[in-house]
Amino acid sequence: MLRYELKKVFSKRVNCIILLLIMLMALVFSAFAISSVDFVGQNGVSHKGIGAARSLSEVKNMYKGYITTKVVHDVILKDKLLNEKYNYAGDGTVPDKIYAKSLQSQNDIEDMTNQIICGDGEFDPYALLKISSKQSNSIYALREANIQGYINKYGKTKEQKKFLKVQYQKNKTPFYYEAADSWKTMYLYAETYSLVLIVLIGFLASGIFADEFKLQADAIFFSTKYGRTKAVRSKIASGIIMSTIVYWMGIGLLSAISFAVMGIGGAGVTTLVGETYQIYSVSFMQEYLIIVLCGYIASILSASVAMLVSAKLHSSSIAVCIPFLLFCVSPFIGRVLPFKTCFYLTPDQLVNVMNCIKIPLIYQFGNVVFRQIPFITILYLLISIGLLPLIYQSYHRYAK
Amino acid sequence: MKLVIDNVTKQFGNFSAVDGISMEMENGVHGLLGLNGAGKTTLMRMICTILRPTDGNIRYNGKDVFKMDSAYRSLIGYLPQEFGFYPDFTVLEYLMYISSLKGLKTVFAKKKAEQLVEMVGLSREKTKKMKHLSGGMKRRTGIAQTMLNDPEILILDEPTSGLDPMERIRFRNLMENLAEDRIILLSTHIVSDIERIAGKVYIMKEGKLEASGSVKELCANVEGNTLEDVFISYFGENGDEINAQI
Repeated sequence: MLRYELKKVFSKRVNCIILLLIMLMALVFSAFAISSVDFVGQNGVSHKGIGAARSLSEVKNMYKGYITTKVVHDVILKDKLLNEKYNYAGDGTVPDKIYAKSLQSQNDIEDMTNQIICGDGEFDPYALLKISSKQSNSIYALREANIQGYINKYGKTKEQKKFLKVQYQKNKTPFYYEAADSWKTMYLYAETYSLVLIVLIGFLASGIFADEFKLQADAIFFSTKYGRTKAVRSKIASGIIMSTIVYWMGIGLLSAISFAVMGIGGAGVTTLVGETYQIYSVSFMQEYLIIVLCGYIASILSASVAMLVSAKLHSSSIAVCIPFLLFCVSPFIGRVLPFKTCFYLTPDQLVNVMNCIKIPLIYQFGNVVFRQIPFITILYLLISIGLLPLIYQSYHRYAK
Repeated sequence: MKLVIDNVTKQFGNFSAVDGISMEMENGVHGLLGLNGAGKTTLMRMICTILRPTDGNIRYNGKDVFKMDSAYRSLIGYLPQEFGFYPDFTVLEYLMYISSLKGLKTVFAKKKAEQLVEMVGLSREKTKKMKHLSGGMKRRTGIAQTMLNDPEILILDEPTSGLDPMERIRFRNLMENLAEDRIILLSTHIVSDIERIAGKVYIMKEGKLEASGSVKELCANVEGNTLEDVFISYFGENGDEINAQI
């Protein structure tokens, strides 16, 4: 039964076109991701596309290893010397050849240092030029001091403060470094592509229940032995399986092409090198997996909501709009809501993990404190699962 | 086997589509005659448990069919007036899908589907997608799907519409054979479809049962000696229109 339900979905001409579009978009997004990495060769010529990401990683990996205070000190020293010569923090610019030779390789360490210095204030890309040698030698101590500021700012209660402290204590310094440009690049493309998949999966799922009525096949369907029981469950299962196949096929293709070209270096390195004050102690690969997993939960939610609406209304025309409203319009609605907290809990946050992970957002129920991402992940997974019995009830109770 | 429709009413808002109808059916072909909008389809949908009566009840062998639920639906075969199908399924795939909805085992269903496509004369078209079939072929596929579970109750709503004269004759013969050990309720406004084969005929008008009885009994009450005359006598004003359909 399930096989035929899946066949119904995948044999519809319009659905075949959508699947083709999904594949095509995976290729296009891969191409965008690959070409977005910029590498400046020793001759000062900028390169993009195949090979750029790997070349960039190769150059940056000269700093592979622990970022000790000595490493930071040397980087700052090099920056200061170059700035004295070219005044790039002011009106001047560094010649491309010099950039390629001296600055390109240490970009990530500069960013990390600037972040540590700026703390929760406005980011200054030249902050490291303004600190003394003594300060550069105690950069991790400065980070510890700023973390206390974060704890005081974002921890509203005693429990929250304690929770944040525990999270920050999980991060061991000095950080280990390895170039992870392919992962950092893919965050944005995976999230954007997930959003496309979510809307299209909603479209595919909306026809599963509505088509019985559209094709006037409902009378035979409901007059059969399993038409209101097993067959309805099969339809729901086909929606979930379809979403799973389509999502992982799309994301899998995008990831496979992009990582095959750009490499997977830095997979196990902590993301704290990039976002030093985040409360998630994860590696670059883990963050990527969290992003695609959240996208998958959003896809299941999209399919569940589309199936519920189409099962209730016996039509897919409204159902196809719901995922779009949930994931594309809800951010704008969230912004006008009176409570800022609500804005960070709307379903679109599932496809905004890349930004959410940077902010130490926490929630508290009683004495239990949660971080935003695990909270929305569990919340929307439970909602998606909770909708399934409602879909069953809507279709099962057909005879009026 | 006894199907009892007991004072069944179906209202949509203030409109009574079916108004207090009572019928008792045992093995054999039962014809349901009436103009479009007489309430035939609504009555059949209630018998198939697709619609729930506003009042009254439907019993099969003494049990309420809505309480029997899937056990009852496993005993019926239904061909609706508007036969919907899945355009990208082949005839065999369609029959296999309906078999699974009817709870048939795959091996048995395959054999049964092959038998039925042969019975309805679609052997050559069995691997064709349904969207490529003619209207008559689709209708025959619809008839085939009703028989998959070897039903005790067969509900056929305008089964011969779209069939050519030869197919209609074949259909009539098929119904005659099948009626021996099952209840067949066949609605039509084409009188000749049921005149020869129906053991009992029910005439519906504006949601109500106007008359019922064997063809002979019905003919005895009117001038003329055909079911066509009976029909015209009940739907006098529309006689010409009906004649055209006959």
